[in-house]
Amino acid sequence: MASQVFYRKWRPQSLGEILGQEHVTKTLLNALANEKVSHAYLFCGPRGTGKTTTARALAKAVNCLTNGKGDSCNTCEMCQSIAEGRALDVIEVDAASNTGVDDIRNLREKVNYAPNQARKKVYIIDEVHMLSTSASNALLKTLEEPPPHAIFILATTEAHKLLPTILSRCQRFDFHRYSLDDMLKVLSRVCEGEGITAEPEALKLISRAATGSLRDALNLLQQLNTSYGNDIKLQHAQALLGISGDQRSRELVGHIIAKDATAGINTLNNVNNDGLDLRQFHREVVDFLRLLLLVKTGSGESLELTAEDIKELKELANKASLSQILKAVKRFGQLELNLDNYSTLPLELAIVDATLPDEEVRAEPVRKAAPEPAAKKAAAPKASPPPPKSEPEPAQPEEKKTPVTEPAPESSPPVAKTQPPSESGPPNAETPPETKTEPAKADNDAITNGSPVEQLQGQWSKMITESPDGMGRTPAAALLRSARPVSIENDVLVVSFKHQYHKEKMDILENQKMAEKIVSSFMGRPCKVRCVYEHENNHLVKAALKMGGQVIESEGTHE
Amino acid sequence: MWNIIGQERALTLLKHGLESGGLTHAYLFAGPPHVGKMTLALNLAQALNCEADDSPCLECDSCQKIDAGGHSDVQVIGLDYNEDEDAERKLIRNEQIDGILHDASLPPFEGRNKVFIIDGAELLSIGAANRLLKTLEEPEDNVTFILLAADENRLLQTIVSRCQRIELQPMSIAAETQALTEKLSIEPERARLLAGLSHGCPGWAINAAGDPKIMEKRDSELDQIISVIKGNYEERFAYVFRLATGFTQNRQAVYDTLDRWQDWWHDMLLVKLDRAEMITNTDRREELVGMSGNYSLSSIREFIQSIASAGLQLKQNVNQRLALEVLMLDIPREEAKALPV
Repeated sequence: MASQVFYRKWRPQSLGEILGQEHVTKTLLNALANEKVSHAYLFCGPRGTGKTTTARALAKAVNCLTNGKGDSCNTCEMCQSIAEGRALDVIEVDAASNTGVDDIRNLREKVNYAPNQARKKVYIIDEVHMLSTSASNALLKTLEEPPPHAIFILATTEAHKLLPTILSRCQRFDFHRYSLDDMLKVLSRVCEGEGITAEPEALKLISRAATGSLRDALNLLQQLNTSYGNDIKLQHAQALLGISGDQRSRELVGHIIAKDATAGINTLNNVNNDGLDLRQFHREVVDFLRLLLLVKTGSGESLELTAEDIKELKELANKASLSQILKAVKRFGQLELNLDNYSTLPLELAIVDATLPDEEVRAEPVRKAAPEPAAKKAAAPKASPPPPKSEPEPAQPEEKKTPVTEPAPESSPPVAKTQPPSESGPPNAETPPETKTEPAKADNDAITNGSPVEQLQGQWSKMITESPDGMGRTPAAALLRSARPVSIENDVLVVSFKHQYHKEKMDILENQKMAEKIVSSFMGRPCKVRCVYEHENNHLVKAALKMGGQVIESEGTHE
Repeated sequence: MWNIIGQERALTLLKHGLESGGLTHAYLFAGPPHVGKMTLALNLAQALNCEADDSPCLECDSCQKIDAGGHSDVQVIGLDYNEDEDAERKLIRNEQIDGILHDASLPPFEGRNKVFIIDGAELLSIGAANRLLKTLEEPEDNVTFILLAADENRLLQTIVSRCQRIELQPMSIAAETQALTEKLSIEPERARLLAGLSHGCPGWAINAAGDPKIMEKRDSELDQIISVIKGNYEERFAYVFRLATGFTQNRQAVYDTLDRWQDWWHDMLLVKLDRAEMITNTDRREELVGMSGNYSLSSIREFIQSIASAGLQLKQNVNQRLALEVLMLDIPREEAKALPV
């Protein structure tokens, strides 16, 4: 046997009882007092904000027998019959089920008859947005000039679907989402009436989860009441909403900072096994990361936190670099968890991303253009030091090292065929080992060391992509990409091509001029460009290529 | 006796409600497919009409009638069959809702309560959903609506707000393994495999335990995936061609295959991170361990991303063959092979 739900049981019965929508009720009460009730109202607003309730209360107020000029008394016969839904003159129409033009024609015919008992005939047309266009149009004339005894109240959640001609014939009242304070007032009133004692914090949590809809809040309260009886604690509300309490989100952030993906995934697995809401957990993690970011950037003082929290945050912040925190915040912030997907995979990927060393994460893994020799050179030295913390099992570093340390050459197979073979010796030799841990520094060192040609080689792709005035998108630039600088003497740059066709193209005057412009603008002085064709001259390599091999890495043999 | 596996939170709520008379007139059970929404809904319908004291007893006339779908006061509606097109309709139609709204206005015939179960509430057409609103908010006494939805996002907010929303989450793998061993007496190892493959939705595991074809299909799919990963481009493209031709007839099969791919690489990720006890395909542990040694962590994680984006593209009606071929190109190269140059 179903009992009555809270949102029906505690539906306010008069305009004065309706909390939180004072802008509506006050206007209506004033209109009643001055006997200036209009003949057509439109109530719109989000779900659970009191549209139907207000409509019924208004119907009572205009027909109340004891007090014709103000709020309803709820004791007279008329008020009671309306409350029980048996008054003949208050007609509630479900416009979603009666959408057709015939339904409205039927209604129009009956409007003209005088009310049976009440002073006014009140038509409450709920879900009015579902009326068909012709039905809405059929209503227009009546809505504009109804007989003096009729009042129309239209209610809907989707006012934007109504015809403008309907809108302009009604007095429109927009209902607002309930504020936290108003919601709390209503909830505590219901608690009192039901004999429930609830912790204020629990009620606050319910109010927040209901996002401004009173009906949602009352439903949550009722679920809590059914599950846990008349004594509702904060932890009950948390359990219902799948909130963990905040310890494990902190634990996870700790693991991320320590770059321990394995432990992080363990934590996540625990959370999932306990049946907590992953979306909620994700939100907690992002919040905590945000706090960490604020503390790290030194703006933590403005936060309202306990001294213990501040201490914990500071300790964590000291362990991490700003870029690391920033990366984690970004990665977790971008994550969108689908409601229909209960998989932990998206969160696991985010953990792996946030804990991987910088150089292994690339924004667009494979679809980028072929990496230039220069880009490869820059990546290789950065990748070589195995960051000790990212090793899940330090006991066997030798086996683990191979996959972790050399991602750049191998992980882009589809484009490898077009990739020109690089040269110039083992890349590790270029940069002193102690600078390797700092990616930014290593970059700079690769540029400033070495002969002019080597410098140019190091910045070849940068030169092309960053060339001014859109020159980076010209055909000449494209050709330059497939070329390799060989030598530079007396402001004459010699570039070599792997394919005859490319060289011929570059020899076209137009392209050559453009290439010279690009190089000059980079070098800061006028330079000439000369082209040579340099085919693969090692017969072993040639034979291998013929058989379908690919050049992965080459030593500087032909220089 | 409630015969649902897991879902303690929902059960507590409903049991307390039954005892204290605090059950309401509208429920929304939200959760992934096979998690037990319909089982729970039928149980609740039985409990509301059961003649025994310890409801639902599952033994009295009423309970058995409901179980067999023959109770006149318990109606289940879902997608109906369109004879003109010889296929299932894509939405729940207005007429179906009009039908139950009319029935809801009549008193119960043989039981104590009328129960209307709407399976796949997210498939209600816009008109049908709106028609339901007024009645869903204030039905007659003795009427209970139970809406089942796998994708809550597609429901009208006004519908959700009128129901007691009960979320049925997937069970943890350990709990499901235990339940399968105890209730269906499956040996632990196989139970663990089924639990993993079902992703915490016992309905799938029960189906698979009863029907060997499901596992055979999964095995052959997995074998294909492994051979495709090891194979050359020609094999991969032939595989895509087969998948893509099937896509127009049966989209869901391709999505399922992609899920299989994702599980496989997810397992590789877990093995790589030394969390081998969490993997899904427990019967292929050796293969997983062997294969994951060939790939770096970052390339595995990038490929998982590629699978996810391929799935998304298919749902957005990108040319299916193109999307799948790009996915094949994204399969990372084994590092061990690349080294000796």
